[in-house]
Amino acid sequence: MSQESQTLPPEVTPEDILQRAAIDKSTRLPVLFFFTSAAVWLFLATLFGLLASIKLVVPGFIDSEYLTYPRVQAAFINALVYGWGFQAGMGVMIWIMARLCRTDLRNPVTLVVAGHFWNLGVTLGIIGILAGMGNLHMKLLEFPSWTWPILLLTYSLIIVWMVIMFSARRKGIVYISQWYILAACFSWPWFYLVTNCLLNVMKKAGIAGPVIASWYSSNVLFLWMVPVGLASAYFIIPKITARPVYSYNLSTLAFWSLLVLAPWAGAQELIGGPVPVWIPAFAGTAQILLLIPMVTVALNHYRTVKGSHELVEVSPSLRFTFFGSIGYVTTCVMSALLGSMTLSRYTFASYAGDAVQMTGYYMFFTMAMFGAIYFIVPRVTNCEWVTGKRIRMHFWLSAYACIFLCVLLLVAGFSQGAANDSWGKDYWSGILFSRGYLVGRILMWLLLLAANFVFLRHLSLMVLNRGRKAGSPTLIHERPAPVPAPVATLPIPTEGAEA
Amino acid sequence: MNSLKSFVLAIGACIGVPTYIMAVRPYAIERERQPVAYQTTAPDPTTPAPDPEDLKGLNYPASFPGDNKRGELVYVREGCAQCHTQVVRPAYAGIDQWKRYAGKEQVYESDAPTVVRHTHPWDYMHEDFAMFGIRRIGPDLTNLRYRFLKPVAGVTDQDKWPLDPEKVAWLYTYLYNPQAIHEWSNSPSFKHLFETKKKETAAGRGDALKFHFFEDKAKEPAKGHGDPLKFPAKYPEKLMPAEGEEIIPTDEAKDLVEYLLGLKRTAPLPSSITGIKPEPKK
Repeated sequence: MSQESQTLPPEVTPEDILQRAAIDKSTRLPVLFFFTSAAVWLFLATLFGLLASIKLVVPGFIDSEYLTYPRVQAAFINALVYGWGFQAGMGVMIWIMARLCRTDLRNPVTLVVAGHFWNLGVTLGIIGILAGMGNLHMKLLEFPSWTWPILLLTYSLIIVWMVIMFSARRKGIVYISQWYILAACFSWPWFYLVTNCLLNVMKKAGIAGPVIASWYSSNVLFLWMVPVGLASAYFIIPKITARPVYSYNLSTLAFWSLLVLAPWAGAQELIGGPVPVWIPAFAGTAQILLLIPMVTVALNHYRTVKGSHELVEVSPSLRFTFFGSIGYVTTCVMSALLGSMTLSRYTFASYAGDAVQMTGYYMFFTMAMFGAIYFIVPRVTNCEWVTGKRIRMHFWLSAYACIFLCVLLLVAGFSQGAANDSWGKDYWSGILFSRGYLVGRILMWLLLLAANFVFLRHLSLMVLNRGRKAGSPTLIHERPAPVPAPVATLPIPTEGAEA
Repeated sequence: MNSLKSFVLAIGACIGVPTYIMAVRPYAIERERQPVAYQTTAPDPTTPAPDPEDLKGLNYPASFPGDNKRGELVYVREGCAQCHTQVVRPAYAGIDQWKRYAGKEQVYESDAPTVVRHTHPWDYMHEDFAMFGIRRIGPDLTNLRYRFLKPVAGVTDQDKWPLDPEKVAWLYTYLYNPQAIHEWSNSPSFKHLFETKKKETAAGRGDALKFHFFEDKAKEPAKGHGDPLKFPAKYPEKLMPAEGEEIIPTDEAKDLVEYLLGLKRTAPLPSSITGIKPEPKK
């Protein structure tokens, strides 16, 4: 990759505009399909999350065999990751890949068919969990044992198109976002295949079972969600600020250090468990070293946005992406701290683990995906978001709720862990000490439910072609606050401009 | 790095090595794990001294909680592991070893807690997936069996004590409705593992749920430390079966209880694992 490939083309020619329009048209069907079904799954996941958090405080709420706390909790996490996370991510990957490769998507129908099978797999999995067929002891692998081939095959069908597009790209230009997307394409099927072969096919894993499961769940976060979220951030930040990424070398360092370090992490949550001590030791070290790619990416993004912070105020995509970047920093710092020997004493198997999970899945990944969706959907539907008010509402409800959700879970985890680690306190102290925070968590889930309802409704209007047909792009604030004279000589593009 | 092939190879190298070391290797170690014989003679002076004589000819572990596959399946399916751990961490990582209800010290003779040994990989042999648990919201279940034993006068070895049928009946009632016993409990009810049937005889079946145990207050376990194994003075009316009916645990509930009552991981470790010299037998 050459240095100048990172800089934006100096001028947008009419041919470019026509080509982009053609790409957007070819990706319209699969991208909208993935976004819509992802948004529906997100809404369902929010319902499950709300129900699970209520059930931990009022166990008798909706007393049904199919809705006991463990089943609802497993359904929630899996719907969030495989229903929402993967599908939103795939939509974003397809569109960014097509745009950066400057090639039309040749076979959108295959992707939509594969998407239907993915939805089928997730639906069967969730129904299996609720009906009592799941593996509820394996973290993030709770789907019944027979669903994994469906998901794996479907995913492979989708990434084939990613690779075809990449091979047909305009030669000589490779963007950092494409690296991240390809890394996400290849790593997840590998981890999923290995994990399922060992745990669901060969079995008899003994203590290696939890080791592999925690390794896998960490990889889903750090080698699937992080690459996809960062690919979207590396695409959107330069687009909206109209500047090239600050440093090409920093991006390279961040990418390869993530790839080298992340697959070692995960098992540090078993510190003190009956596993050979080198396993959590290796994993905890890798988790701390993962601060390197985090600092590098954060620095790079910060320097790219620097001077254009007023755009975070008005552009929905940039605001969500910016929030997601902060979420990424928080996730890495929390994982590193909680994987340490000192704190694991208090956080072993406590709600603090849920806090890290929610920070990674929601504060970082989900918010970054919202940013990408607010950017992509107007381009593929050819209409603008209906009102900025709804976007504003969605942002503030989500931001407020997910920050407090993570803080409450973290404090609940420490109270629970401290009670479990105190002399003379019996196990029920942990339940009683954390109960107050769990009540607070219910309120946060109600806010998230409202936020995701607003989002789902807004997205459906766009998909049903009922967005604003003409006019300037929708901004968070109706009229951007008077911006001081542009600092850069480059024209400041606004949201929705064909940049 | 412009070629897709070199890129894929580089990614493969990055994730291939950790896949082997962090996943495949631990798995292979588990598959090769064998029970360890207790040593009775020291091959040479540098090795630890022999284990006590009465363990001669035995292997560690001698029994496997994971052998109860039907019960384990119910445990998995109902998601018990989402809230219950089966891990006793060593002293460097927490105070699990001194926690009440962690192991053999269930029957108190004094206020001093007894040390429970921490869990070892051998304790999870024969399990398809060691039930470490995802969260520790409820109590740890590593040594659940010891909470349901009936003390026998004159026998100090708790492993030789039989199960107390009244305490086992308590466990069934607890699974049926935890809040009836502890109103602060946040455990879900597993009513679907029970069925309500017409009484066939006036006395009812032996395995039906019994309510109002320990009517004789003298028989109720001592509450020295807030013993959780107690029954409420009165059950909520809606839980009680109608006249002429009784609540029978299904086979699944019985398998689950059998699995739970088989959970004990306290067998002494061979000195070849611990490297600690056992105390000579007097």
